[in-house]
Amino acid sequence: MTISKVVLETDTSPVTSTGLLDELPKEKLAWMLQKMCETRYFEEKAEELYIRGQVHGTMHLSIGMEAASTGAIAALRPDDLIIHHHRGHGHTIAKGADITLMIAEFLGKEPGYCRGRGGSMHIADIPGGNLGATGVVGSGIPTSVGIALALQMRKSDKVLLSFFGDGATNLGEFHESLNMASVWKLPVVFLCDNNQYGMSAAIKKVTNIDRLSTRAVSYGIPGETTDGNDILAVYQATQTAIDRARAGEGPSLVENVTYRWRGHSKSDRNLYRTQEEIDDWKTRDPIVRFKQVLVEANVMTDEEVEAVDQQAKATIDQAAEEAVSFPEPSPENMEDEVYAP
Amino acid sequence: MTQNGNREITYLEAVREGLILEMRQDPEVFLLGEDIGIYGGAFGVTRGMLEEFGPERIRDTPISEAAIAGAATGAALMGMRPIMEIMFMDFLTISMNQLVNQAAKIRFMFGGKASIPMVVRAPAGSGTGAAAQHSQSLEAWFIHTPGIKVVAPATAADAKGLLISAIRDNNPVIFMEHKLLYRTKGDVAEELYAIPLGKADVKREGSDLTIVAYSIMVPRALEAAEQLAEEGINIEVVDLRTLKPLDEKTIIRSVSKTGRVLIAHEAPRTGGFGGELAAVIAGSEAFDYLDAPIRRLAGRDIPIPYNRTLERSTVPQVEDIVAAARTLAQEGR
Amino acid sequence: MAIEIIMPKVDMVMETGTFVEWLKEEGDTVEKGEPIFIVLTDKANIEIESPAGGILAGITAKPDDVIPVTEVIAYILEPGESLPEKAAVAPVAVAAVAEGTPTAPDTPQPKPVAIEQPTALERPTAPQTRNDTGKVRATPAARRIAAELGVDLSQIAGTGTNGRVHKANVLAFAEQQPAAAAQLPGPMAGVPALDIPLPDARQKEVVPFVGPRKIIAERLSYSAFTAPHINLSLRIDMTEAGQLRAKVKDLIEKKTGRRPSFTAILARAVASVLPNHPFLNASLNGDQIVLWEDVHLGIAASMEDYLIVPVIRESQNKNLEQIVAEMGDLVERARTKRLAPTEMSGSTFTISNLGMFGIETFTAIINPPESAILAVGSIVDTPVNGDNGIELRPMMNVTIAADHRVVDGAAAARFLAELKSTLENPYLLI
Repeated sequence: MTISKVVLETDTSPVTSTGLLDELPKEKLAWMLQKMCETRYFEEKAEELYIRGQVHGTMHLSIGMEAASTGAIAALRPDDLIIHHHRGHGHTIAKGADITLMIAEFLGKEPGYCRGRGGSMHIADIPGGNLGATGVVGSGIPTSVGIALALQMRKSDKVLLSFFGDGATNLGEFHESLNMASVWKLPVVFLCDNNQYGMSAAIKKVTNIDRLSTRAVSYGIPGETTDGNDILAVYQATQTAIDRARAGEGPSLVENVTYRWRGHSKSDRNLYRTQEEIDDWKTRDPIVRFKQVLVEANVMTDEEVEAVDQQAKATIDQAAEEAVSFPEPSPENMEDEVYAP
Repeated sequence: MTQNGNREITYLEAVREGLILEMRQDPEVFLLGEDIGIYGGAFGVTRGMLEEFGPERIRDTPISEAAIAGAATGAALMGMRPIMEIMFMDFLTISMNQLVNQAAKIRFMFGGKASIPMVVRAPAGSGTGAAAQHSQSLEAWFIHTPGIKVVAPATAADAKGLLISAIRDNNPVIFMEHKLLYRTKGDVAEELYAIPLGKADVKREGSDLTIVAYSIMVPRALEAAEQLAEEGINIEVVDLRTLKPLDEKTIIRSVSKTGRVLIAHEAPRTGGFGGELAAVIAGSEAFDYLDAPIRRLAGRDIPIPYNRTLERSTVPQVEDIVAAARTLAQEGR
Repeated sequence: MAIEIIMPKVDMVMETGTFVEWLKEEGDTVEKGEPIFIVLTDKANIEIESPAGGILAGITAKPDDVIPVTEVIAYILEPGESLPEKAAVAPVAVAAVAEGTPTAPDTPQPKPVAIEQPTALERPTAPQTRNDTGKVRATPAARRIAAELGVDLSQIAGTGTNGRVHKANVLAFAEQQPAAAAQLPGPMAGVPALDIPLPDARQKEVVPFVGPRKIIAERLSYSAFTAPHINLSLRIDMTEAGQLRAKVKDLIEKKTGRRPSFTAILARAVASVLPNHPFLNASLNGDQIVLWEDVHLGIAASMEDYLIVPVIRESQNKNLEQIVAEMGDLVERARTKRLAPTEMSGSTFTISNLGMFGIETFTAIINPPESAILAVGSIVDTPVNGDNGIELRPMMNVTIAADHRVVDGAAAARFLAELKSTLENPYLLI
């Protein structure tokens, strides 16, 4: 069991796990950058659509957290599964979702992933192994026990990544689920996207431990904390946990410490934190850091990196343009869809 | 063996038999819950099943009702058919988030692209001196949650057949087993059979008054009907069996015939299912045939007390049904 | 536990009461039996006593509200107790009627189980009650069948709670009276309301058309538009009656404390004559005419703003002295609004005397369900052709109005003739 040391207040160094640059193929690294960039542009597009009054509901943006979602999912096999939370656009993109259908869902359109029934908070892509985002903090955690149980009972070698925020770790459901998953040695990795605030509640104020991953001790499972803005660190820690799960040795808890640049949702006025703190974290932009690493390690050139970036932007712009024109769903016969036949 | 080839077994045995028969023929079905393995469940429903099916499929859990419900929900999302046993229906309060916000919502919220085929077996009801936290009938909460079905069988034969249908149903089904019914006996066919959900059963035909009941109120209504028959009052007893989806047709047909209806349930009256039933009847074509106000007979609006006399007086008993039905049947005649 | 105060049913046929005033205010402490409010039923103000001691709270009734009987209008709470949710209050304690009229409904016991219990009320035998909208209280099935059979629900006496008409009542009614609906059309049935503009004038006051005024209006309209009235008049020489009155005046006043009026003598005469003319002391009821054995004699008396009719029961068995005493008492109490409703209803024949206003002749409208009414004018000294030629005699005009469906002109004339001869030879009345 390892509890890695992460200096959160001052560390602006590019990345910590440069060894991976040799292990991973260039295509994989470029894909990771692509998904991070797509996530960033998706969120910015979402914000833009929202500001332009084209979005009916609320949304929770993950700008600044792209390494945590992309890095963890990059360690999965394509046929593995995820379940995640309301701040979940990054997970969905990294898991390979069709971005046009994501934006369509965000806009409440009929062709959207959930046919306009779920919206930003509940995007699921079941065939793609994305078993959905839940809006009640931590609610996916107990469900993930069952998903992993089914994998185990069917003797599948697939693994589930179960994402939740720092706020969820103070729920009874967190405790019940990690204990149960540990007792049954289920193939699940519990991934805490610790963006340091549960809405306005700083995790430091509502929790009396420095590292949430130390809670793993109570369940007899490994716990590790990473610099969640270092995509390679996230990848590495998650990979270790996935290997353990796939080997039938049970779950792990990985805490990726990161930061959300935007407010909790659109109603947030950021009264609970300072502009200095936000600006400080912006200097640790996970995308900027990863680009630097890739260039400095001569994996990619500046031009290649920018090409990936611009391609991501084009992908999002094109998807949005298409999705806006999609048809609205009909209110008729909605009752018929509540129950499965 | 009875004449028709059925045996008389208890409601509890019928539930167990339904579980066993379906588990034998569908490997995706499994049980999870507290103390259901070697202990055989708090009421003994799963006794002996560990030996046949092993600890994987007769899965003891920690005391973690939220995680049990989550485990069932997640496994169902993966296409398995979990049956979770909650030790007392009261403890579903701890499972509510998973049941209400996950199991009930996932299908609709994800655009109909997933389903949650799970069963929640919930021993419910009062009469055992278990007091306020182990005696509740919480069906109304689940009936009020779109995405969940609710079944409340009253007889051994119905319990077995409805349980089979509940397991095969592709939605979360709350399966209420009244604790006082566990010991009741009835004719049950030996083979595997399914009784469709959403179909009420006229347990007794009559012309003067309809009693709409479910669960423990069905045998009580039938006994009341026998007593009133001696007074020349001819009562029809409609056993709803499935509360959601509701078989409105059978209720409306019966009430249209008798013109009078008494709704009986154990759960507290205020906000209880009886109010919904009354509204369904009043809003239906049965309205034109109503010859007396729709009446409800329900539990008092108090927690279930411990003392035997207090407990009895909290929920409708046979004598209460007799009195209410007699008054209602005679009014204006 | 909170005790409900309801609009009491203080009269067999009472459906609503007009609330007059609270004698106590919200939050006042009241004693059990203490008068707490006044209700105007049918024709009288009645003080209602508190059913329990405690704090008056949750007052909903306001002056001039027309409130269905049994409706809760306030609660009596114990100190520190808060107002209950309506449904949670099990026992329906009925406020006692100050005058002691024995019509309080039964009080159901609290039920062990949450049964929706209708308030147990006595079963009315008169045509069924209506709520304050004037609509008939009937089950949906009764309505449907009544519509199918063409039966007028308002004619049916319901046997359900609060007089609710049930299917069985409709069927029984239809069986008894297949053509009943046609025989007894309701008042002004089918006559549309005319939209006649009001005058363009300054208003002095708007008086609510409610309570006794409304009830009088409904009944007399019914009578005027359903009963074909015939009116017959004659003059009665009151010379002998006047002498009789002078002779017995002191005696009766000594015994009863009241002076015998001409109305009392007239009442005695009517009570004595009427049993010989049964169709004038009768009620039309469906396809039956009920001939009454008793003469319950109503004496119309004008109040400040409406009319009341105190009733002398079994007047045929009462002598002049008794009638004087009883009439005096009734009228006195009527003027102070202390009459019980039962003392002002149930008459079988009515005398209306406007002589004191100098009215010489008038016609009256029959007070249903009676079949006749006697309108009495003032006694005027009038020249008549007497035994000694033209002389002045004290003459009194009386006019009988009779329901021609029940009474023929000749029968009414025979009654008047006998009344005249009795009053002109009055000594047998003593």
